[in-house]
Order: sequence, then C-alpha cells, then structure tokens
Amino acid sequence: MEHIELISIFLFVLFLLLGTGVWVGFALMGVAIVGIELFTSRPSGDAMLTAIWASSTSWSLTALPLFIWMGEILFRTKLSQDLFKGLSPWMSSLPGGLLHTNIVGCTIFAAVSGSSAATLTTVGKMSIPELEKRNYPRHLIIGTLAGAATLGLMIPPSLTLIVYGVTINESISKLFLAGIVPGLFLAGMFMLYVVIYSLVKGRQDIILDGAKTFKQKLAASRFLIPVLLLVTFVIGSMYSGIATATEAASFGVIGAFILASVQGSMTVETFKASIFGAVSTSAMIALILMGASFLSLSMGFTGLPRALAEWIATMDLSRFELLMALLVFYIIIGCFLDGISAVVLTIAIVEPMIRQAGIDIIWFGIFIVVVVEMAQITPPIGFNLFVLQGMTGHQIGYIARTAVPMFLIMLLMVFILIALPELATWLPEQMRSRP
Amino acid sequence: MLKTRVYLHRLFVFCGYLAAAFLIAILVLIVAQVIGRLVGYTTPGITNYAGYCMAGASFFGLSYAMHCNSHIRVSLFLNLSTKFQFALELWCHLIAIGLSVFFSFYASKMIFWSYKFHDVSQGQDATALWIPQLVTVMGTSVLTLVLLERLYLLLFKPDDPMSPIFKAQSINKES
Repeated sequence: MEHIELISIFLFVLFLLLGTGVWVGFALMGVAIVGIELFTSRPSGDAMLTAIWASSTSWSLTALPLFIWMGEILFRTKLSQDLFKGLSPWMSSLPGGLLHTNIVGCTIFAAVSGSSAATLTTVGKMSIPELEKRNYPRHLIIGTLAGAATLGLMIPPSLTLIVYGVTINESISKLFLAGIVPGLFLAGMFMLYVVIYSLVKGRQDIILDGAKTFKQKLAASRFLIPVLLLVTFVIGSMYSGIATATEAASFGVIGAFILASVQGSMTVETFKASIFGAVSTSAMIALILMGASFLSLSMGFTGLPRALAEWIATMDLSRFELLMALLVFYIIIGCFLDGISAVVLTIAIVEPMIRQAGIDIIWFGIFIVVVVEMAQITPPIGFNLFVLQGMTGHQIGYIARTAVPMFLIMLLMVFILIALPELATWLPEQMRSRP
Repeated sequence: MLKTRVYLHRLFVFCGYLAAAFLIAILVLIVAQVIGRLVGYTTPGITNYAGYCMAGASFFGLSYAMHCNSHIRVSLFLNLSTKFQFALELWCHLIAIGLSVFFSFYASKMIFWSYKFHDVSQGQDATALWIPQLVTVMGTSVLTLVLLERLYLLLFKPDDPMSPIFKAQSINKES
C-alpha cells in the first residue's frame, strides 16, 4: 500500500518522542506538526489552534473536571475508613471471607471516582493492613486489589469513557450506562474466583471476626448508605434522561459536598485540596486531549485513517478476527501507555475501521476499556502495579504475578463481551427508547 | 534569582487559583441551567459559556499541573542513569518549550484575526471570540515560564528540590 512511508514516519516520530519521555500531550502535538509539514501543504500552526480551540471548549468535556472533583471530595471524607468497616460484616460469611471487601469496596469506590489509581489507594490503604492482620494469603490480598481496582475505569463515572465519548462524539450518558452491567459482571467473576479458590484450598489459619446481628451490620455500614444513594442518584438521573452527563456530574459534586459537610470532614483545607486535585488531574488529561485532537486532524489531512480502514476492509477479516487483532494491539500499547493516552492516541485510526466493520461504537467503548484495564496490571508500565508497589513495598514482578489470575479473568471477560454484546448494549438501549 | 523564583511560584499557584475559579464557574453555570429549566426559563448560550470556562480551567491548569509535576510521560528510560537522564530531560524540556512557544505564537495570531474580523461565536451566546480565546495565550505563556524555570534548575541547580532530576530521583526512591 502507498501509505507505508507515511505510517512509518508517523510511528517513528511518535515512538521517538514518547520513548524519550516527552510529555504525552506534547509528543502528540509534535507528531501532528511533523505529519502536516511533511505530507500536506497546509500551515500547521493555524490548524493546530483551530483543532485545539474547538476541542478545549467542548460542552461534553465539562463533565470531566466535575466528575474528577466529585471523586476528590469523597476521597477526602471518611468514606475510605468506612468502606472496610461497613463492608466486612456483610462479607465475612462468604467463602473467601473478607477478601471480598477488596472487590466490593473497589466496585463501590469505582462508582464514586473515575480513576483506578484513586480506587486502589483508597481501598488498599484500609484493607491491606486489616486483611494481613487476619492472616489472609498475601498474594490474594494484592492480586484481588490490583484486579478489582481496574473497575474504576469501567463503572461510571469513568474518566476513560468520558475521554472516549468526547473523542468520538458519542453520548457520555450512553457509554456510562453501557459500562454498568459489564462492570458488575466482572466484579462478580472476581468474587467467584475468590470463592472457588478458597473452597478448593480450604480456609487456612484465617482469624475470623465475631458474627454480628443484622442490626449491627446495618449500623456498621450507616456511612456507606448515603454514598450509595448519591451514586444511584447520579447514575439514575442520566438513565431517566432528566440530566445530561455534565448535569449529573454537577449534582454529584454538590451531593458529595453536602455529604462531606454533614460528616464534618469538609474544611477550607479539604475544599482547597479537592479543587486543586481536580484542576491538576483535569489539566493533565486536557493536555493529552489537546495533542490528540490536533493529531487526529493532522492524520485526517493525510487521509491515513480512511486509507487504513479501506485496507483493512479489503483483507476481509471477520468481525472476530478484527477484534482479536485490536485486542493484541491494545494490550501491547497498554504495556507502555496509560489507558487514556492509549485510547485517544489510537481512536482516530481505529474509529473508521470499527464503523466500517459495522461494530457498535458504544459496545466498542466498553471493549476498549476492558482491554486497557488489563494493561493496568501488566508490566513494564502497569499503573496499578506502581501504586501497589508504593503501598506494599513488594517488587513489581511479584505484584504482577499475583495479578495474573485477574488478568486471565479479564481476558475471559473480553470473550464474554464478544459473545454476548447485549451485556453492554442492553441498558443504553433501554434509555434510548425513552421519550 | 531566589526572589524571582518566589514570584514565579506565586504566579503558578495564582494560575491554579484561576483554573479553580473557572471550574467553580462551570459548576455554577450548569446548576443555573438546570434551575432555569425547572422554572421554565430558557438560558441560551450557557453551554457555550461553560465551554469557555472549560478552556480557561484547562489552559490555566496546564502550568499549575506542570509546576506540580502531574503531567503524564513515559518514564521507562528516564530512570536508567543520571547522565542519560540529564540528556533526556534537556531534550524533553527543549521540545516542550519549543511547542509551547509555537502554540502561544499561533494563538496570538488567532486572537488577532478574531479581533480584527469581529469573529463571534456561532452559538446562541454570540460572544466576541477573541475574549475567551485570550486564555490560550495566557495559559501557554505561563506554561513556557514553568518549563523555563525547570530548564534553569536542570542546568544550574540539579540538587534543588524542584529540579526535574531531583524530582525523578525522589520518585524512584519512594517506589
């Protein structure tokens, strides 16, 4: 194909800039400029500003800092302490016992925060010492945590899904709803693994907490209930169509603010810390998005994405073969890049292929999220591995090994998603049919 | 020089405050829109204003985030050896400064033409576009300053706690 020179130059410059440690956003801008200057006669500077100004003022993007802010507020409340105390009485009678608090805790916190690192630190900070005190096997404590924390990317609000939705111009609400069932399903599979493992291996020398009555259980989790209500309200307002994703996010911020104030953990200091945390995370993502919007314009000028899509079409791949190729492609990319960068970097190329192959673009969003989730726990650059290394002091290699079963479960999830696409598409279609 | 750095630090934190103010403005605008809809009052143009605030929060946040070292990069090869790291950091900073200046230059050009041709937004807000577009130049100019300060520290004060080399090493130690 005649585009081979174009592709190799794009890839060479991209790998050079990314590999030498240039900030991802700047690296993408650099590649875009090289592409425009070498292969088109258009002025790169003006194109850059047009693309970046249009993408930075996008209305749907405003959901991003708001959801980050909501997570930042709840992150600084007593939620993280209550998560373990509130969940453990309910989980202790299941086979595998309190290991389930890792998974359920991550699932709940994932519904509060859109990032998997925040989920991991919040849940891990409390549960690792408590589980170690009770003699749970170390590799299971770390492995389940590494795996379940990736749910932060899938269960709404998910920053990766917002970024995906903004880049392909699809409804963020629909993407969020599409993530719910697969997210819960994946959490269920993680729990099933813990159950099977502990049934096969038997309980070793685990120290049990005393059984509690229903009333005591309820009292222990009284702080969790308002958070669950808030999350349900935020997601429910999108599902019922009363609110757009951005509006739901602003409800979430206000609700989180009220919850924190009632709990007494909202001081001027925590308010400032939460908003500055939100500012710096959303600016970090904004820089990547700026680079990506310019790069996709640049690639559009060269005609590369369309040519690639047509080329793929001539290969007559079946839908399954195409998805398998993309699966391998994203696992490799995900070894070196974080999820958001991986999505925005590739989507300009991948989107035309997906549309051409007739694959549902909402469903593909969930597919891509599971795959970049897997990348979070694969070395050499798995973000969750780094966070866990910082928290436990174990070697990356050890942590990665403990996470292997979770990786395999996610791989299984990918095939289940392909076999049963309704897992992702059913809920958003229910919303679609509403007036 | 120390005094200059104190002022620079204040400027960068001030940009953080500006970005925070824009974020609060987004929240206020959206809540106003929801309330307006509930009482049956249409609020044309609010989505556009929220978009401008988004740009404000992003562009002013850029420099603050760079000052706090929170922008993402692939650090796989940065940690190999100090000498190698110095060379890579130098190269990264030069590229980033180049791109940031390039961006500010073309942003000024865009604003100049928006002003000259009285470009107005195509949305219902009909804002004169050069006003919100100002944040692009301001944000990237401060970003250039952050990068220049980091470059200065890299070259002349590698042991300073804010220097890129020192930062990278302390991250290595933590992990």
